[in-house]
Amino acid sequence: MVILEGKGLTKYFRGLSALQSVDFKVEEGSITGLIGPNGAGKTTLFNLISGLFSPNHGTTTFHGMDITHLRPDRICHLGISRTYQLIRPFLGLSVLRNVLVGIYYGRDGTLPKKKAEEEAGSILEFMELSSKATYRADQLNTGERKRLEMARALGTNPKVLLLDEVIAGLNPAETTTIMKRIEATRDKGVTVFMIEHVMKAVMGLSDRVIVLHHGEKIAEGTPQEVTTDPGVIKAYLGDKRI
Amino acid sequence: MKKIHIVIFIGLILFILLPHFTPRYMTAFLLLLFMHIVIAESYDIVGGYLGYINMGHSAFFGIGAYTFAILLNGNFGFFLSSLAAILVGVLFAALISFPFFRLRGAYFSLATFGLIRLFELLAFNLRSLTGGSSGIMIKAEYRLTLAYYFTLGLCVLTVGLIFLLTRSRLGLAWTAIREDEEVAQTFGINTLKHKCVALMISASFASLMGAFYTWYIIFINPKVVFGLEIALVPISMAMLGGSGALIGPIVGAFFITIVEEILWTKVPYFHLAAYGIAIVLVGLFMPGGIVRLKWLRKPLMRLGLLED
Repeated sequence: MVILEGKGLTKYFRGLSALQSVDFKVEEGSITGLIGPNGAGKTTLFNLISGLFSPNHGTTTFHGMDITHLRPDRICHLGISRTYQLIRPFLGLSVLRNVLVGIYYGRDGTLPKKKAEEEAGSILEFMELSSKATYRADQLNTGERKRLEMARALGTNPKVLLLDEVIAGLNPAETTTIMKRIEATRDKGVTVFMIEHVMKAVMGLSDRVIVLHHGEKIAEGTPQEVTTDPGVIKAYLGDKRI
Repeated sequence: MKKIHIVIFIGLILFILLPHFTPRYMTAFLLLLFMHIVIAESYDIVGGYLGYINMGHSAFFGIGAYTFAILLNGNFGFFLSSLAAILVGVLFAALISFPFFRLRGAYFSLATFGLIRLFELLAFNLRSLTGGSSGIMIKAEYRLTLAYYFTLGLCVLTVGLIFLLTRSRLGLAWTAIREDEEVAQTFGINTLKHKCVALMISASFASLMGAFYTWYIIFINPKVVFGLEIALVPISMAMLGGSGALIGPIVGAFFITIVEEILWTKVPYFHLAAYGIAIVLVGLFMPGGIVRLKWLRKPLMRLGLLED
């Protein structure tokens, strides 16, 4: 079943087109990868889905419901949560309070304090951040901050999790950790839609991969199909003849 | 009970008993100090926790003062007039939060700063309502002791409520907005609503303080309540003490009120420089305010007066 769908999504920044009528579908319970060279419009697509930008044309639907022009906080309540490529935890707040923001405000209902703190504890444990719970977010290193980003997003109890390059820039050990966490998240029934440059991760995790280039979708399919697609190879490596 | 609770308790009893043993001058001085704490603390809800520097916080003080004075002269009684002062202040806060909170950073500060000038001019020119430059006089009585207790009570209420609020879900949303407003919104926080609520709460304390102050001082005019002197009180005190920490504005208020008191008895008008000097000193030597100074930070945190 399709949980998240975009139709004809187009976004201009002034005269510059960042996305041009992009269609995509994300199956419920799957991990879908989103790849493409720098500036291809991947993060713009995430910003459209999470409501930070409004598209110039096109619609996004979630469970068949039109969410194109909803406010970001409403979209979060519906069950779509995200991380940021330029890691943006609330730097002045403790790790625990970062996650509590997601738990208290990101869900549709309200949780009592005790329940919320229990939940925050188990999410921190899941993301292997328990020992840092009282640290301020600006005292964490990059790997921990990325895990915190994901922990905060999980706090909202999402149905769809948008991961914007949570692996890029991590060392091999951290990469393995977070890949396992992503798989475990999917196994809990959360649909994952992830932007990633680290091919090992995308190809290893994704059920389907969507490729963007210059704001247009140039390929879609299983990892094998995509990596052998001549259009994709051309976009990444250039043409044979110069 | 922790040590700190005992200290607070003893301090409170001391302040309650004090007016019976000290000269009037001391009572009047403490009243001024408590008033400064109320204004600086209530400013800090928006300035320190929400992260919006509201330069026009004293506009709420002035609105409360004028509302109270006008209604009291209209024979509405002390209680009703105070209530109306809060209501008008809060309503006004709700009204301006929609256009003003579309602005961020320095633009918000400048717009709110313009607000107090606007109100000063309005108070000067709406003669039939405000008495213009000759101000408003309310019925004179000796009220020092009673006004002292009201101000002390409001001070305790303000600090107590802010303590509770900043540890609640609401306070979490405010600090999240301060840290990164866009991210806060994508995590389900209705930012406009929360900013509006913060400003309304902040305004309620300041406008009630304005009412109490009027009741005590008997006479107000536009310069007294909308002037630069009172406008600089919250910002300089909160910044000097440490914005975004409960104890910060209290420390700042103590410090500046005392310095000011010493200065103005020695050199007339020089006390006004205290505000400016405080802001410059903070910017140069202690951007986090007094309470976040290296050698003070640790002991304060151990006492539970400051959290990181």
